[in-house]
This record gives sequence, structure tokens and C-alpha cells, in this order.
Amino acid sequence: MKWWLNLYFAEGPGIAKDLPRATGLRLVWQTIAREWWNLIILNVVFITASLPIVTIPAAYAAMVRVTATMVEDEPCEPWRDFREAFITLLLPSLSLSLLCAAMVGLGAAATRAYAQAATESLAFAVPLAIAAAFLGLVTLFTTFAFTLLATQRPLLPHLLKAAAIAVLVRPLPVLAALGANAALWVFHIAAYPSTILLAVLVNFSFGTLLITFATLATAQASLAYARSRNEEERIKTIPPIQTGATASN
Amino acid sequence: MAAISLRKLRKTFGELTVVHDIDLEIADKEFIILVGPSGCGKSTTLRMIAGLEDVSSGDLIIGDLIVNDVAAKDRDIAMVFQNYALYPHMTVYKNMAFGLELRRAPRDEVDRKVREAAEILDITYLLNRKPKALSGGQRQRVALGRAMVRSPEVFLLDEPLSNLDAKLRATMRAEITKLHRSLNATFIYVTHDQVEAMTMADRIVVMQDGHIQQVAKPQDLYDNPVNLFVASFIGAPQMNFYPVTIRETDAGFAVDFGGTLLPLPPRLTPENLAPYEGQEVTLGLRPEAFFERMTSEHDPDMFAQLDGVVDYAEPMGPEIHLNFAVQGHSTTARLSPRFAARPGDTVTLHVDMSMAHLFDPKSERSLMAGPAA
Repeated sequence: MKWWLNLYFAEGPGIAKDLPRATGLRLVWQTIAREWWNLIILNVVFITASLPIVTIPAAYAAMVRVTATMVEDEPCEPWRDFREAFITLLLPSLSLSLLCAAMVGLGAAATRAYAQAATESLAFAVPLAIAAAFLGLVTLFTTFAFTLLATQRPLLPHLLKAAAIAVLVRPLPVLAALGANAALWVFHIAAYPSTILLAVLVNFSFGTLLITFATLATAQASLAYARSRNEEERIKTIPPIQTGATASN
Repeated sequence: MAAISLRKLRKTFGELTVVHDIDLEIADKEFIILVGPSGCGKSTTLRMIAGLEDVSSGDLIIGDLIVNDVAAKDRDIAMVFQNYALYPHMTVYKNMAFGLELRRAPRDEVDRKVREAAEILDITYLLNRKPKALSGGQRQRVALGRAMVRSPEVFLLDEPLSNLDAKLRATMRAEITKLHRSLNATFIYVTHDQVEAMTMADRIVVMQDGHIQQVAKPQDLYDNPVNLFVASFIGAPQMNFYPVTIRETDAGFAVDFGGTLLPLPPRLTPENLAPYEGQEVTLGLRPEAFFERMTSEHDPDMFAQLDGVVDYAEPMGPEIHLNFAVQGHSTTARLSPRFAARPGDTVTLHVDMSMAHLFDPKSERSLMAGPAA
């Protein structure tokens, strides 16, 4: 009995105030260790909120918002925070998802078409490569755009610009996160049905946590850059103030 | 306005009375400390103020309202417990916010108050952690923060530092004192640690066996204890006591200690002493009344010499506590660390009798306090 009570009530070692913040995979591990229960709740809430299909973009954006709170080590309550973000982001995320789906669809269609053509003539290898690259970039763009929408809600031009910059600046962590997501789902499918609970309890929220972890800092920095560039351009368009002497000349 | 009055407050558990008709006036924004040995009724008194124990008889008044029958949650009081009482499954943030959320406070207000309290207590970096990972000091800060966010008129603290190590306790003492100043609220604090009481309180209430022995400012309590219990309880090392006889001499009243006549300070007036002439009383001398030698700053008329056999010495760093026997009575003197004495040595020390206290051995009251009421 005592060991059980100690599990909850015994004093811990304390947490040093000036402890440097973990980075990289260590931070991911710390976040998962701290938030595992919230991730399970989040997964179930996401599945429930996605049932009407049309709400999938809002549910995903809300999940990104909650996981961003986790990554930033801020107090979060998955159900409450998810609900608030879901309501706020319902329409913007739907619009953004339509835009991104159109671009991804275009890229996928072009890639498929050029891939078929390339089997008959190698001359189509170059457009195939371009289409495949476009598809990859648009996929990365979509992940950054949703992270920005969910965490910052910038104006559309800023969002598009910042997401494009982020894709060019740091694509590799996002590629790794997407790869980990793919591996998670491949494992789930390969081991089905023994992994049925994996999808119900973990896959979506854990995968989104990885994507958020990979995109958040870059997306925020890119948005700050895009905004500052925009401000500089705006200042350039303002005519200089004429002093009295200059005006009289 | 959070002045608190206890009027003939009594608490009984069946046949057992643990608080005996106590009267106490606590001013608004005062930091008052209830101190006493275990079982003296101080925690029970605090719990009655909190509303966690029913009042058996008497009145408990907060502001202008008798709150005997007011529920604890409606008393505008926050309490900090010795064992912290944090919810282990909630984060620090949630622990602090929970009380406000139960009262359906707006979320923005909850967040603002939690973050403000965390900032004051320097625990912002702990907000997203669970209590399990926190040390005792950090847990106590969280418990304080949880009380602070409610912005109560009165804070009740029940031995909040008892579980901390000595170093952390000293730090937290200073922090709680600062907190009292910044929050501008009434603090009622229970402890059995006289150091906490002396260093933090505006006034100290000394309790014994369910009775209030004395209420005074810390220095007044130390300088003018009203009875033997307060004299022995306050001060570390504690006051030395000797049986002496009051004698009237040509120079006035003195005490006879085993054939040695010791002078008495002018604050012990002939009116105080005359009724005891020829009777045995208890002489009290604090450890700092003993000196290795007299200096020009001392009044030679108030000094006497006492011989003793050294028992042992406790080096404390800035001073030593010399334990020796004077005419068979165990005595502790606070001396310079350079004072050299080995067990068995005979030492002669000078006693400043201007610091002497006399007590009636029957009533145990100080002769300066006048007759018992």
C-alpha cells in the first residue's frame, strides 16, 4: 500500500529552474512522457470530431493547436482546447484544405499522368520529376500552412508566403515526421487487427505531435520574416516627410 | 476588512476540551502566529477559523459577521496545509486553477491569476508539471499559489514549513514575510517552531493546553514573558531557571542564590518584590546574560559572578553554548567562540542581572506582570 501511496505523494527530486530546455528527439520524448494521457484523449476526440468528414480539416487544425501547446510546454486541456480551436478554425481550415487539396490533387494527377507516359517514353521523365517534386513541396506546404493557421491565424497572404518560405528553409524535419507517420500507419496496416487500438488511441495525435514538433518553430520564424518583409515594403511605399526647408525649395 | 475576533471560543471533543474559552483580537492585515507545543490547541483554533471544525461555544467574528455557522467555502479564507494537499493527478497550473474553476470564474481571469501568482512565487517554469516531480519547497510554493489565486481576505497557514529542510525553511520564511507585505491580507500562521514565530510575526500568540498564555510582539514576548511557560518556550537555548530567595538589604531588594546575593534590576520595583520578601521565587536568566568578562559598557552594580563546572560546550560557529552546573543547576551560556573550557573545568562567569526575570513558583507568573487576574 505504501509503495502505491508513494507513487503519488512522495516528494520528487525537484526541477531546476535554469535547466536548459531539451531539444530534438529528447524534447519529443519528454513531451510524450508528460502528455501521453492527453494524447490518448486527443486522439479519441479527433476521431469523434472527424466523423462528419467535412469537419476533418477543422479537427486536424484543432489537433495541431493542442499539440502545439504541448510542444511549447504550456498547460493544456485537450478536450477544452480542442473544442475552442475546432469552433474557431472550422471555416478557415475548410477553405485552406480546399486550396491545399486542389494543389495536392493537381500534383498527384500530373505525377500519375507523367508516370504512365514515362513508361512509354523516357522523354516524360523530366516532367515526371518536376510533377513529383511539386507534389512533395505542396504536401510540405500544406503541413506548414495548417500549423500556421492553427497556431497563429495570420492573414492569408502572410500565411501562404510564410508556408512557402518554411518549405524552402527547413523541409527535412517535416519529411522525417511525415515518414514516421507513414511508418506508423504501415505498421498498423501490416499488423492489423492486433493494432486496432493503436489507431483508436494513438496514431492520429501522436503523428500530429511529430508534425507539429517538426513544423512549429520554422513556421513561426517564417511568419515573422514574412511579416517583417511586408512591413519593410509598406514603409518603402510611404513618401518621405518633407521638412519646411525642403518644402520651400 | 478582515479583522478577526475570537470571543470565548471553545472546542470540545466529547468530554475533552482542547480549546478553553479563548479571546483574541486579530487586526486587519496583521501577521499573527499561534505557537505552542504539540497538543496545545493551535491547529484546532486555526481549523475553527477556517470552518473545518465546528465551534463548541463562543463567537468567531470575521469582519463584522459572526461566522460560527458559515460554511468554510463562504468565509473568504484560504488555507495552506502542512502536507501541501496537492492533487497528484493535476498539473501545477490545474492545481492552482481548480478552486477558481469550481467557482466558475471566467477562464481569462483564472489564467491571469494563476500566472500572476506563479510569477510572484517564481514557479512559472513548473506550471505544466505534476506534483510528483516537485521537491518539498516547490510543492509548498504551489500550495501557497493555490491559496493566493483566490485573493482571500485571510490566509491560514498550518505549519507550512514543517516538512522542509532547514535551509529551505529559512528561504521560505523570508518569502512568506514578503508575500504578506505584497498581498496586504491577514495571515494567521500556526507553528511549533519559535524561530518562525519570532522572525515572521507582527504578534505572537503563545498557547498551552488550550489556553492563551501571552499575546505580544516578538521582542516584547522575549523581553517580558508573563510566566514561566512563555519564558521557557521562547528563546533558544532556553532560559536558565534557579530557585532563589528574595532578601531586603540596605541597597534594596536582592536575591539570595545559595548564599550569594545577586542584585535586581530597577524594573523589579519594591512594590513587586515586597510581598515575596523572605520567600522562594524562581530566577530566570537567558543564556546571553552571561559574560566572560565585564567591559566599560556594563553597569558594575548590576553584575555578579557565578562559578560553575563545565559539562560540555557546543560550538555553533559565531558563538558557543557552554553548558555548566551552577550550584548543581544546569545552565547554558552563550559565549564567544574563543572562550576555551574543557569538561570538568571550573569557570567564573559574570552575570548581567539587569536581564534577570523573577517568577512566582506557585502561580508561575512573572513578578513584573502583577497578580494573576
